[in-house]
Amino acid sequence: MSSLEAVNTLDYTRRRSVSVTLWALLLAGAAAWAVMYVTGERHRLWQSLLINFLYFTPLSAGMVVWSAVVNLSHGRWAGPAEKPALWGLGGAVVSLVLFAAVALLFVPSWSGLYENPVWGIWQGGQRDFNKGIWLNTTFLLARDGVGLLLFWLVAIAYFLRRMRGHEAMRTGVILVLAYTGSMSLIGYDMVMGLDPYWYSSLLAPYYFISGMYIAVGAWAFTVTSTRFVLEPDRRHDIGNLIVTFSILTTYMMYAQLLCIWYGNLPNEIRFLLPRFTERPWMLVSIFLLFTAYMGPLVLMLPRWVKRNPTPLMIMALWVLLSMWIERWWLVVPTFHEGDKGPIPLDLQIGDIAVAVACAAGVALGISYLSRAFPGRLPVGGEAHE
Amino acid sequence: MSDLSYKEVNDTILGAMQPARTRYYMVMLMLGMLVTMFFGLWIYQVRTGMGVAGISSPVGWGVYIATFVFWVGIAHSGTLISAILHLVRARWRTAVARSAEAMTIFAVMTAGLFPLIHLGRLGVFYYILPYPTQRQVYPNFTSPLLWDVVAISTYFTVSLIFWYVGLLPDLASARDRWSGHYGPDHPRSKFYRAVAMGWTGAGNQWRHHGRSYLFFAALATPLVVSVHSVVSWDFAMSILPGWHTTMFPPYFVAGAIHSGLAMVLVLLIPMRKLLGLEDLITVWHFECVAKTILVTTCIMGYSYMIEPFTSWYSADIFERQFAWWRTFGETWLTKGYWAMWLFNVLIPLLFFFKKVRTNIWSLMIIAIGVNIGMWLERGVIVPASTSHDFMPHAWGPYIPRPIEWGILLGSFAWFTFWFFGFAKYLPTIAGSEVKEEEYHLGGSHSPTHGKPGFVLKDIRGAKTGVWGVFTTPQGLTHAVERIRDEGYDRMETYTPFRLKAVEELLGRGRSPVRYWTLVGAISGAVGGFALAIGLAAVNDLIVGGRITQRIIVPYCVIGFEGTILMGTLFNFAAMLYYGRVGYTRTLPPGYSHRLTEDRFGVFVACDPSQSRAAKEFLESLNAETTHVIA
Repeated sequence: MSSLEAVNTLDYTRRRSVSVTLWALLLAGAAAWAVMYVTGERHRLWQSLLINFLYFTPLSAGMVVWSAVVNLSHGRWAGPAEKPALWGLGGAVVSLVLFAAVALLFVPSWSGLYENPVWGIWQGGQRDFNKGIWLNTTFLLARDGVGLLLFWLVAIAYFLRRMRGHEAMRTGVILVLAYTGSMSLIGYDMVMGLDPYWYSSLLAPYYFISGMYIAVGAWAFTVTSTRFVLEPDRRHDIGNLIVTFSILTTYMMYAQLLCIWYGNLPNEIRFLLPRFTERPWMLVSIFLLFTAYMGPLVLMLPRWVKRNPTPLMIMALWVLLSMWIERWWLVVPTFHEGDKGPIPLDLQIGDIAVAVACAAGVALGISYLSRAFPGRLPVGGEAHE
Repeated sequence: MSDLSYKEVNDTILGAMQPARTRYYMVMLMLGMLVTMFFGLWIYQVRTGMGVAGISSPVGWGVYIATFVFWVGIAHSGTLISAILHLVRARWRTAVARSAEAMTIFAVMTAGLFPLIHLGRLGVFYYILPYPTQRQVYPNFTSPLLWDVVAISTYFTVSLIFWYVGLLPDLASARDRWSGHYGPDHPRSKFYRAVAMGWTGAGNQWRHHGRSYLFFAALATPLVVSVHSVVSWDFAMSILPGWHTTMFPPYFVAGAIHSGLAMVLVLLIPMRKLLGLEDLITVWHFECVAKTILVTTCIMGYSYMIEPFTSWYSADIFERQFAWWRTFGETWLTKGYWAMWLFNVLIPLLFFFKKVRTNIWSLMIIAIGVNIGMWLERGVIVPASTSHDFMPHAWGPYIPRPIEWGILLGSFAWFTFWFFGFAKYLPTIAGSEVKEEEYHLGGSHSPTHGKPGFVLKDIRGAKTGVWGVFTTPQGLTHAVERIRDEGYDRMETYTPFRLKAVEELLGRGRSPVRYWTLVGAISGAVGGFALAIGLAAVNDLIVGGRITQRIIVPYCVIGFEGTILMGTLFNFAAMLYYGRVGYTRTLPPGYSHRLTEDRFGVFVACDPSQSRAAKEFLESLNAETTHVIA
């Protein structure tokens, strides 16, 4: 193993303090789940799990997909940076556990949380919204679960083929298609489907594109927050990807909101009104405009922000945190559909504990893979250089 | 990548610009006749009235608007290939980018005619211009139709400048070739001398040009996306079933790129044969285009599936009935709907097979199919929703009349006429980029570094000095390093393509063009918002139930287009200023025409007393030729 290979692992958990902290955060989060379940805050627990599932699934899935995208496009720029993206597979366990928790809590016989077998959490027994079988809970959870499982299986196959030195072009194509399909389903069902009266055909593309945005933030954070050795040019390229995907995500959201705002139709505007016309959510929307959407474009204009590890790490963290808030913004107001008065922000310490535990889980998974598969990729990105 | 030498690359590209044969003129004559028919039909329609076309209540938008959308779509791939692929450093763009950019210009020129054709009364066009007037009719910047005008004109301006800036080094190459061939007073020489604007390939010019080009690419990329999004909003901002869907902007953008890439194949496959460019535009380039089409095919397939799904999911009775009618109805629109599935999705999926995407005939046939399919897509989208909207008593058919088909055919002739003219009179391949690509792929280059304390001085005003001409870029790089270390600090290099290694040796900093681009972009954004909000304040209208001076959301479009337009103009102006590019009849004394072809020169400014020593020094560095300017 060369010196570069020895350095290029993300083996931060070998430092005992980091490892202990991550495990402690994970356990604290699990304890928070338990407390919320036992103390009767099951609705809030379910909401919290859903938000984190919608955030951490595209985060880790997108990282693996970034590797495939780079590989398929013969991205000469990626080089050694491709491998940390592949280690995103370490988040699969968190993604699947969150999905299982979300699904199990929704099954009446398990949790007693919702008695209505039809998806649409605030419906309270109404079933007259003409969505047919599509929002039947069993069917919805089954198709999303199967889609997610298939995606992770393909991701594992891709990961192993790349680690064995194959270019894995065909598996890469299947992986990208599987990502698009499974994330579209999750976007439609678990974000749009929360309010069965609302619909927007662009929601699914927005969900998987913004997922790639979160993932590139995680990728940048992975390579800058550890001892991973990377040339400034490579960091610059990853920084450019963050800027590009911030623009793309902003475009997808703007295109959606403009059409809804302009049309002003009752079934569409119901998404926009609670988020843009009333406090406190209006303030959150403005905050997101300056952080998740426009922030990286402005703050990452100077070259040095993209080329130096610390500023890039700060910007990556900026993206990760702001996009978590964006997921919360996407989901929570729907839970209060029909409530009288201002919709509360509804963020408590338990929610944050769950989020931190998930982040710790993903970090542990990535770290495990970096230990199990250290070194550089034998072919692929570097082979093109 | 070709194995041609730099000279052969030059000869191949400029050789295609030899005086045309009779066959070429015959084709141009035929196209000219069709263009005459095109304008004749248009004049007939203006004189007779819009009744001669098939558009009438309830269908107000027909073939003309569909064709407008089609040509705007075609215009997209040029900027895609030039800008986006430049940013992601895709190698295959170099051979096809120039033609694709030209295609963009001519497609926008064609598209721009159709709103006028559709308008009927041409005289009222000036109503949309935002100037103070006593008519009390002001542009309404909340209208997507006005966004369209702003977006398309911005796109045309930016594409034209982007294309021209990329052309500059090759125009200089053409100038040097024809001046040497015909003499400086020949009309051809004069023409290329005028359009090359004194480009010499000096290191200072390349430095600003490279930076400027990068910023053009960065500005043009979001512009491409915005333009077709704006076109899609012409439809999506209404509340008609089939038109009002949030998916339209990315769906239109993907469709535009899909058709544009197919048009690149349709144009380049015969062009490379006719102009003898097979060594530079290879099957590998076409395969790369086909692979990109495969990506857009998947996006199109995804969008086509999402559309009916959302109609069903919405549970909206109007959306559902419209989707059902369009899919299973008994009109030509239904046939068009299924045909677009076939041509745009199912058949292009054959590109998954390497044999299909590397066979010239299959490439050509599928690309033509995609263009037919993409026109049909617009032909279905545009009239269908007004033909079959909410109330059955308001439904009505739309059958295009012969004059509409004639004008559609004429638009193809108009577009092809311009493209053929371009292919004969301008370099169809970016020669400087091909050479630079060959240089980078040609072997390992030892790293170069600046020298602490060395400051390169300007050679402006220097009348005496010594020229050294080298046969290879490596030779020049080595020489510049030695000259610098010898203590000379007034010099300039002249090369057929950008040599970053030499820039690093001479410690040239990053170009200030970037600051001016930022200043332009900010002023454009402020100006765009100010224009829209200011006019709304003067206008004092309530549009769509909204007080127009208090809203920001729709004005973001104007602000964005202003940002791109002014950023581009400032960038261009700064490049010309700092690069000292402008019309000039005289080139530097001792300048060789081969410096834009295959030779690499350095001019060391020095006193006449030092000339002899400098000459001998350059000769010791294996310069092919040296000469003193005294």
